[in-house]
Amino acid sequence: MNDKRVESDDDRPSWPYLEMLVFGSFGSGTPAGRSARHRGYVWLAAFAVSAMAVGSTSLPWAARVMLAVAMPMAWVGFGWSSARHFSEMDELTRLMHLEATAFAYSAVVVVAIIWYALGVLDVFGTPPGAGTVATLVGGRARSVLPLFVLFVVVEPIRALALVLLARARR
Amino acid sequence: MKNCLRLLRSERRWSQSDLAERIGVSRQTINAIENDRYDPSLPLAFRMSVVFERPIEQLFEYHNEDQRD
Repeated sequence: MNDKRVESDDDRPSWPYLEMLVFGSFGSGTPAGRSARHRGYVWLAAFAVSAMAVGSTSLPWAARVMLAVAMPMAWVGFGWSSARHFSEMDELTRLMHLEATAFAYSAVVVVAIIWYALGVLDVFGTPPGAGTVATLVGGRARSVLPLFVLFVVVEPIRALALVLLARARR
Repeated sequence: MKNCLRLLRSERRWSQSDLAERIGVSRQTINAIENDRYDPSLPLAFRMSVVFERPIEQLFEYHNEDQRD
């Protein structure tokens, strides 16, 4: 080791921002992230292979049933891999994940509740002459916004929160 | 809380990655601690104390901002 290496190491970017934004995790930027990514690839590959093979008519019925079972099990494995990743993180990265998750899910739940309340208003009616909330946002009553849409955007919000939290700690 | 990790690390010619590996955390965590962006937990502070062979109070200095002289 020499002085040059020490200096260059300190000058490296603190966090892998791009990976954090795309994958919502620290990716290969940490030892825990590297092993988690490898495990994740294995489970996703298992899902992809079983999903492609399950539709094959050349396979016997029993094999296709097993593949149908393997598909959700691959996601269980992926979830287990994520949980293990969380336990392998060091204290700062774990804290940041918790903060980002808390922010993202809280924000989405609040927005979901507001939209739900607007939907309820449409169901029970607004004051005479006020029109309907759904009309105002160009939708139909009781379908102002499908709640599941919000939970699709929760992961990108969490990833963005992770980047912002990391920038605050560089 | 202030710390002198960067100084002690430089004295030993360790990179952030070297120190991170020795105490079992990520390089980013070392960077955040050195830049006073994160206060480590007590177990992590003790691990640093062992690695640097210094008492913990020589590594970290606590400043109570509410304290009045």
